[in-house]
Amino acid sequence: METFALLLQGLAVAAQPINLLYALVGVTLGTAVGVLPGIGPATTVALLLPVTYKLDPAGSLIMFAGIYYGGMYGGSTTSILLNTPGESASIVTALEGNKMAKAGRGGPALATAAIGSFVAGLIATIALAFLAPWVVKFALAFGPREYFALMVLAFVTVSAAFGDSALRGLTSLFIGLTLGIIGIDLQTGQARMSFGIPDLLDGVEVTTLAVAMFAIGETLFVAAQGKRAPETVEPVRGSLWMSATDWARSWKPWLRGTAIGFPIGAMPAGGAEIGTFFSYAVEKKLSRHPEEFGNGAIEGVAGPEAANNASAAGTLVPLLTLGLPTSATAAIMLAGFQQYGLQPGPLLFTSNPQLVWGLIASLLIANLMLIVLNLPLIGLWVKLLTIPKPWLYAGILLFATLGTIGANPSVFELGMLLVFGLLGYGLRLFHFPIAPVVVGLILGPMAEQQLRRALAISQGDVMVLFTSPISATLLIAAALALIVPAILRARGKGQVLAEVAADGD
Amino acid sequence: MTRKSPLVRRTTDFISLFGAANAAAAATHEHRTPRARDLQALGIKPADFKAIRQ
Repeated sequence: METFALLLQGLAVAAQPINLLYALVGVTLGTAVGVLPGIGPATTVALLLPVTYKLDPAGSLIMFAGIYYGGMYGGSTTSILLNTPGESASIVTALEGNKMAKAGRGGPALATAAIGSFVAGLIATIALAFLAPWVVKFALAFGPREYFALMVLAFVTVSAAFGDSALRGLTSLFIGLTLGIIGIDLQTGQARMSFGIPDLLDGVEVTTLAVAMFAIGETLFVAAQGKRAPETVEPVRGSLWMSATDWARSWKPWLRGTAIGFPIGAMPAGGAEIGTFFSYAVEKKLSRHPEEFGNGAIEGVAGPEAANNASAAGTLVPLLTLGLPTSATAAIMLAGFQQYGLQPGPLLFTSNPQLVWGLIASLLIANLMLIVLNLPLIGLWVKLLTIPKPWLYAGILLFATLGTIGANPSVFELGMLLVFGLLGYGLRLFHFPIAPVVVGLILGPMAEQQLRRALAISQGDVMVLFTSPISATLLIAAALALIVPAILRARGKGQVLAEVAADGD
Repeated sequence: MTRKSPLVRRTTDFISLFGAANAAAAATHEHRTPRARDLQALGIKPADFKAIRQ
């Protein structure tokens, strides 16, 4: 009942005209960037960080969350009509969605994607509202050692556990951790790795790194791919509405997709894509018409689309309750909180309940706005694709540069933006993940602070980290998250070698 | 040959499916094409996946 009361209070905050406007701007921008291939919600939130830091915190965070939700909605449109996903979490939607569009069933494909996203967003946001207070209660028992162990787990899962190469992930993480060391040590007042440069005494700005890595690095990478073959938009023929059979075949995948996407989003697993692939596989296994998969099965659109929207809400559980980002967009949203001096975590729920519950309630409103914006305005969104790509990329680079200089008027900051932008491009080029760099910079100094506190309390005894059951469990989980995938990868390589040897025979 | 119990079989299936979903997601996140065996484990034809313009 308490959650209901808090949610109602949040709705009162979210329903204020200015917050409704922020939510509308957020979902509109989010849908637009979701539609445009090459720009995702992470890039957009990163771009907006420097220009929003003088705005109202609640309004800006509502807008960022709207962008996150909107990006998940918008990505499906281009997947279905062009076979070109607007963002990576919509790739699986293209498999069946585009086949449906080619068969003249683009309307039902778009409808099941939009309604599935709505249903999943609604259920997952309500689940977030009810789950968050429980996690907060649990997290209130955390001391410095438990927080340190939690951050170690986050480091391992974001960088090494998922992905093809633990080495690449850990390399990215250590770049972030190293950047986090730069500046004045708050406990001793010593300057660290500042090389006598006064501009480095304040450390590396998270917003500068996030804009550079996600906006500049990503844009350079996409632009460097060169010209693509002309895109053909499949016209939406026939009705946009779903038949009774389509409804009957969609509702279970929507619910299953939500059940799969929400927990996967909440896990520090690194994005919504896992849920979409998993949901597709589950739908194909459970379908009465598995032969239709690959030829335009509506379940293959409904399930993955629900999974990717549910995972967006799932991501907000660890972000809001523990201050842990589990995806790239969440990492940048955390930077957004920090630029207002707010630290997500259990204390935020008690110190700033209006903001937290206003944000959660605004997601319900944003979800409603998205279904109204998406289905009737499909034609308008598709027209966005006619924007010449060089204009788009040049515009992003200009906006990123102006935003950073506006927030931090210094030539040195501009230099850092460009250097980190080139670093982001280089990392992408050689398949190094980007999110661990930003996570390392954000969580590195916090982990260090918690470790030093824990060691100060225990008078330097390292074993204190293992004497608390919560801390020990988290550290064991971190070790398993590093070791088990490494064993699985090694076994996988062994299988491949065996297959190659068998082929050679 | 020992026959696996349904529980063990389901758990193994779940882990291998989740592993394949993980690997495929990581590859797409890094702008790479997932390995054919991961796609096949997920019930996706590699040729269909390659046809998607990323």
